[in-house]
Amino acid sequence: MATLSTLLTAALPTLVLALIGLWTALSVYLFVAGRRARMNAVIVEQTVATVRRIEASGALPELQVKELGRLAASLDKVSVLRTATALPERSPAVEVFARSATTHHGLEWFVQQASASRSPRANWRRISALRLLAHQGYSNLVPLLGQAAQDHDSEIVGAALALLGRIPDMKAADILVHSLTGAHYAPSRVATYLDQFPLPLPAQLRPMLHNTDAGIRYWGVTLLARYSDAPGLEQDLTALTNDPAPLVRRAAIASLARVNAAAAVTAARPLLSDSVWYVRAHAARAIGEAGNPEFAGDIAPLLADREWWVRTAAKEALQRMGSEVWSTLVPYLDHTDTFARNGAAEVLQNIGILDSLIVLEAATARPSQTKIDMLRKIAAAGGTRMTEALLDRVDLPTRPRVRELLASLGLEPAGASL
Amino acid sequence: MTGSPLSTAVTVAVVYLLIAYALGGPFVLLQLIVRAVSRRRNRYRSVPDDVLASSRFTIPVSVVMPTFGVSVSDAVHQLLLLNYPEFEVIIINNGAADALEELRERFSLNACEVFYRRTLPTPPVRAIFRSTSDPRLLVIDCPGHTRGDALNVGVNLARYRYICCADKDARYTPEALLVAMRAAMDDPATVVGVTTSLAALDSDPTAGLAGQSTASALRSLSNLRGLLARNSQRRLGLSLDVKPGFTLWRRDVVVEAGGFSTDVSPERLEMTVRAHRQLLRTRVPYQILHVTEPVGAPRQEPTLAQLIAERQQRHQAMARILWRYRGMLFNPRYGRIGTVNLPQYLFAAVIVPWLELACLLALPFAVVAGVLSPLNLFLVIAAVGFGNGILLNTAMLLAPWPPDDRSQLRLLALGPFEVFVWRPVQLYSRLLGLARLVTSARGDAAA
Repeated sequence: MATLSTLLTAALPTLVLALIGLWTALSVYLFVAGRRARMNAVIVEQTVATVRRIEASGALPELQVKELGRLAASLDKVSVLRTATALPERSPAVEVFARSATTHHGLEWFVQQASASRSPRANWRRISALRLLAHQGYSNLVPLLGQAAQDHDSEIVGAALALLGRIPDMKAADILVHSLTGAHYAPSRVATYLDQFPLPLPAQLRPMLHNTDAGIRYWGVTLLARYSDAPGLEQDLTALTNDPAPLVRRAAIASLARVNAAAAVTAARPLLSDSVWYVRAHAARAIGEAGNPEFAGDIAPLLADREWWVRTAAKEALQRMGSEVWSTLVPYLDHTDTFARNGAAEVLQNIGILDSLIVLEAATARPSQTKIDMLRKIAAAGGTRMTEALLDRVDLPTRPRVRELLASLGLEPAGASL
Repeated sequence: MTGSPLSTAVTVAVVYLLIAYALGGPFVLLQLIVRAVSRRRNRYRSVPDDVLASSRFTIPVSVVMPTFGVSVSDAVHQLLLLNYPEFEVIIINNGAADALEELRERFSLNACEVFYRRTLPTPPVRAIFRSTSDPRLLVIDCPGHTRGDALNVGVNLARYRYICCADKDARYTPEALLVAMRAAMDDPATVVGVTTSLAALDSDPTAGLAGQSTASALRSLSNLRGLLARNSQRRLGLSLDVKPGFTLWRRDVVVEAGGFSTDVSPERLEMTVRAHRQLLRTRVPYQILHVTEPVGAPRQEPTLAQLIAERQQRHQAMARILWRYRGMLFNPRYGRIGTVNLPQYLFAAVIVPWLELACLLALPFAVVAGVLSPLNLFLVIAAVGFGNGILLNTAMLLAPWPPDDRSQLRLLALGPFEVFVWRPVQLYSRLLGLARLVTSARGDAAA
């Protein structure tokens, strides 16, 4: 221990000096780097603000072009790249700025930056260069992005796919479709870019419906929902409601509801008894979206489904059909399944039947026995909290009469415990 | 006195202090430099959030926020302004009439009955209200006692697959939910949880320092240290921040785990460890991720007393969690989490505070015991200070740059002193937490 103590005493001054040296060096680096970063941020901020100001100035186009050219020439290459990441979406001024910058500093340099694969720390240069070239409408951009979309670094791939999703060029769409089918990137992200693609893509997406991979069929079915006027799509989607993969059946019925509500109802009815719960739930939603109370009788049995989410979907579908579904729901107020009774009462509450019944009956001196019976059933199926909520909803002048009526039904809510 | 047990103990204490404090900074710096070779420059990442924000494929989320009887209408309004395609906001009021009335007035709440499945046991729901001005808002009046109770009510009523636990004391950015959900959206099949952080104040851990007091600057430095800790929490996905950002969970995982804990606060820590245990047992591939990008900032700067109380509660919770899940410790069945990460936490949460205290108390005796001369004692203190300065400078490499030269100079200059001001406060709260845990355990045993 004495040796350790001696060693400690001997090493301490050196250690402290080394630590002070390291701390000082790191502090100087941080200060210099921080200062440079702040200055760069100011340049970027001012450049973007100037581009916006020139665009909003209302000056003659030639003057704007001249001013933007001067601005681009005043920046060095790296500052141009930094600015490219902060520029707003494509606008005429941004395009002129990008063109001027690439002309002034040499297009080749930016193309080289956009195509070269470097260390992950330099990803921003490649992404910025790609963005700048996209801003200026570089004619050979799509192949460059295609190359980036094949990169091993997911950050580069993500940036490339995002840019491809905004280029109105079928080759860009092909790369996106290839990326989706080849599972090169998160499918939901690629699907998002395809879903918001500026050109219609039914021809590119159609082959996905017949892919052997159920996941790809699913995305094909989901993405095609946008193209309701594509010839033969309705038939294809209808056929896919019988697909062996439940995920595809679910997507097919949801897409069909967007393409043709009436056709979706016909295809959805058999799916209400599908063995997979989420197919049943989507079938109920598809019928609900048609908003036709004629089909309430098909949906109502699902209020007693064994799966909770199907019951919820059934409730939502029935609510979408409007107040006319009340007669279908009345028998469910006496259902043996508690949840079916609860569900029916909740739908009657949400479509306004409960409120209008109670207000109307409270306003009359001699309420109709049939309506009173129905009120009693709804209140019994809905429970104390439903009557309490009802009392809370009715306006103040009517409240005493409603309370009286509820009391006469044996449903006095005041002070009732849960 | 050289060679006596006292001098041996004091020498060991001094060596420990030098290793932990003085050499800790350079060690973390070295680690960071090694990692930096393959690290991305996040600051230049360009993600088209506008596309995700308007996409129909963006996964819907149920945002749940307990109120605890205080006015939250501004916080609710802010949640409703989140830039996200499909979400609902479920507010759990714990029975406070004033807070409920304020919400009713501001959001035109209508009482209604909603039948839901009580998948998790909760206190009885007193009333349910839906907003007529914004149907995405549901307010539940339920006299629960803990945040876990309130969150479980939210889980029962949630319609969507992901549950986002929000905090009334946080001010979230409009993009917060997108930032948090981005990780889950890339792989919803395996991402079961996402934890996020809040920045200190304003937009980042070092922002807003110009014109602030030295105490605030020291606190910001302490938050910077948190950035390094967060970096090492990635595997466990734990969010050890005093005030967390959003914490997102896949609903099925919460339900299968039996809901949020009602006896350990903060419940997010307990849920993280429990989810790990359950998913590792079932051998299902999963990920619990921690997103380092801040999703907001605290509504107001906590007072020193609040900070101590919160830190103390957190350390107490961590110790309690480690005790509850002690079966996972050093258990190869739980892979790296059981054999490395949790033991690491055990060491940091239970052993390190006492070790630190003992070493700090031993320091004044170093001169008496003849281990150090007064000059060497000064050198030890200087080494500890500058070692900590290096650690904080390393953390600054991970944080956004301070807003101006003056703020940065102040942060750099205060770095070596932070250890003597803020660190003892942290140590005090940690020890207090452990002491209270032991006292309460004894009380429980006696009862």
